[in-house]
Amino acid sequence: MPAAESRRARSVSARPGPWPRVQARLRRVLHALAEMFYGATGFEFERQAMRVRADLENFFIFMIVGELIGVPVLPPYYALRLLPYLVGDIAAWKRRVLRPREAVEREEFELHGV
Amino acid sequence: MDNTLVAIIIGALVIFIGYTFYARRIDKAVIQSDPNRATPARLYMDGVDFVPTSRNVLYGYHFKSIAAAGPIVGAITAASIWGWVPSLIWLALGVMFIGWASDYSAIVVSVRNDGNSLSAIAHQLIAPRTRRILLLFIFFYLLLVAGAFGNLVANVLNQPIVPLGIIALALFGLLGGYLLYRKRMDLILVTVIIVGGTLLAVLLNADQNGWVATRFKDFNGWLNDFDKNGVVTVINPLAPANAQEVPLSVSFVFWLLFMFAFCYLGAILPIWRYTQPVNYIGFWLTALTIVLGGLGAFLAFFFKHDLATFKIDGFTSFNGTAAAQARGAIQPLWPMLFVTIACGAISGWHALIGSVSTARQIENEEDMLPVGGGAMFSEFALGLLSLLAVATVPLSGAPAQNRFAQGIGNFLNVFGISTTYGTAIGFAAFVVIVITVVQLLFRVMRVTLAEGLGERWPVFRNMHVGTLISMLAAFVLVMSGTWIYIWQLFGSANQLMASLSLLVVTVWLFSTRRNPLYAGLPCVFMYVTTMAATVVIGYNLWQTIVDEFWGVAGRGVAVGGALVTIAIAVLLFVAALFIAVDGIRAIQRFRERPPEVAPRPAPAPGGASGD
Repeated sequence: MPAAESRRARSVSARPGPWPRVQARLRRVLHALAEMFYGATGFEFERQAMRVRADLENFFIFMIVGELIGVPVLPPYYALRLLPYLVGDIAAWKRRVLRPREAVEREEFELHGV
Repeated sequence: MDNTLVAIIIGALVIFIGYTFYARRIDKAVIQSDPNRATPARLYMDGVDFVPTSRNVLYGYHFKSIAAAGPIVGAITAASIWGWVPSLIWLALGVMFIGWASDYSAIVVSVRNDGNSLSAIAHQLIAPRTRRILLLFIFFYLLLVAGAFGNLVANVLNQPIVPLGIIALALFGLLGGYLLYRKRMDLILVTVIIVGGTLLAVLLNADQNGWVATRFKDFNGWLNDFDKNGVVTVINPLAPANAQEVPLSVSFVFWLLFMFAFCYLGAILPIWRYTQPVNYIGFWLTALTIVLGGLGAFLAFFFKHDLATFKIDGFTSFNGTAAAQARGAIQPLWPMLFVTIACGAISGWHALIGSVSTARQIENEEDMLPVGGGAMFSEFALGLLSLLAVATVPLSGAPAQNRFAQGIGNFLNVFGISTTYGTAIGFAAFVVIVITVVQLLFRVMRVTLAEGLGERWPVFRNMHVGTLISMLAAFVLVMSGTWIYIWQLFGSANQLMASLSLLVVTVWLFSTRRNPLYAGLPCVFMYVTTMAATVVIGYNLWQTIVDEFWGVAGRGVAVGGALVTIAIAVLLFVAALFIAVDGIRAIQRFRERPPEVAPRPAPAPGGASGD
């Protein structure tokens, strides 16, 4: 049997009937609903946790490499040993702390729909 | 024709047609969303603000954030003045042609401008002073919302079947923050405790003749014995002609102060300790009401037809009910309907603030429409549900919020839940939705005060001072103002912000050589409408209160309140004029600029042409 024909035969026999397709679609819909539900409930807690962690990290990195953004901080000499661990985060940190912010940016939870 | 099923079918058609045939077309043809273009979330991923997030999660987050009190209060107030037909038509046309465009475009502009907020883009595209004017706008907008919502909450809490649920909300909110963040308890267990506890408190207080409600009735009676004539008298132009002078009782003032205490915690405590768990409980109560209420409104047509039939007039008159025109007031359908129903049809606040966080989490440009536009269409559904709830309860002189709660109680009754408990859940959901917003209003007001005045007067940076000043201003507004005019002025401010955000979008469309009509036309319509509405509100305040009661003994507070509200209206009007003039100049600037020519590619090494 030529290769193309055998491939066609395999694909015909492996083609799922309507029920598995319905099942797959149902799974996708349920997954989407679960995600929406998470977005409306737990996501805000996750964002809050991320912000708290980022605030601490901002401050920590600032104490070590604050000079990079023009603040004359004198870190202890042993902070140099931390540098290899920070290098990957420095670009994102600089963007985060130097980005212009809106007055109400940190307080906008739930207020979108006044 | 006049039943919930027909209105739901109309609503579903509006969503389907508006989303599929208009919104998608704009997304493809004008904005040309491109899944391969890197969004700010992917470009600047920092794990905090810029985080690529699934479109479903983001939709849930965005919808929950925008589904607040605005669409409910606007729809039930407008239906009581002009009838349910014009309210339904404006909700439908508003969201179909303007509402989704405003929310979606704000996200688009932000995504295409490195995740900058709309006011930062206005600063860059229109004029530097636009940003400062917007800050001023925001403060007075928030003050008006606080005044309008504060009155509603105090009125509802003053009814003896409501307070226990809200007291429980505050206590369980505090407990939730403690258990989640200090004790690190499992979220599901905490949810069962705090949501279950609050719901139990709501149901315990539900029975008008029950032990708890009787205690609150006695308590209110005891308070009112201090001054039987009320603390001050305000004017309610929507009440029957002989009952428009309304004394504010001592118990009303007590519950108003209770609300301020509730909100004070929200304004000064860390967000995780109180505000977040309170909002979380609020979400569950609201979701329960929306889902069961919506299903009940649909099923009522088949199982309890009487509950599904509209009991209020479809259309009263172009000038609203006779009561709304008492003392020479005017309430013409245009422009007043368009500011009375704000958020369910279109909201400027969504665009201005919502784009800040949501736009920075868009993973793929094709998600902008389902998240921004889709959430706005869903908010329309919430406005529609509120309209159905209030339209199926006959006008009886009761305030619109009471009829809303009763309508929700009727819809829940389809599932066998007693109307007593259903109405209590409707009341609780209403207060919870409003009060969770108000607590954050004061938080944002104090931040805005610190930002605007803190540099010159450092005392405004103190969070207690900022919060107390904001609360004092709101207290004065509630105690002296006229609710319906404050609400309509809030609607004007909100819709003006919508037209200003659409103006920023239009300028951006001009600057990028795209067809600006889909944002420009709604921008002009909303601008003209809301400026006209602001003038009408000023006239009504002058005509019905200042002119009527100037120099009358005992009405000085109402006159003072009306003058303050007129001053705010004038301020907003002038601020909007400034922004419009700057916007038109910016459009001219971009129109006169020659089209940008794509840079020629650099010649290849060896002298070969790059063409």
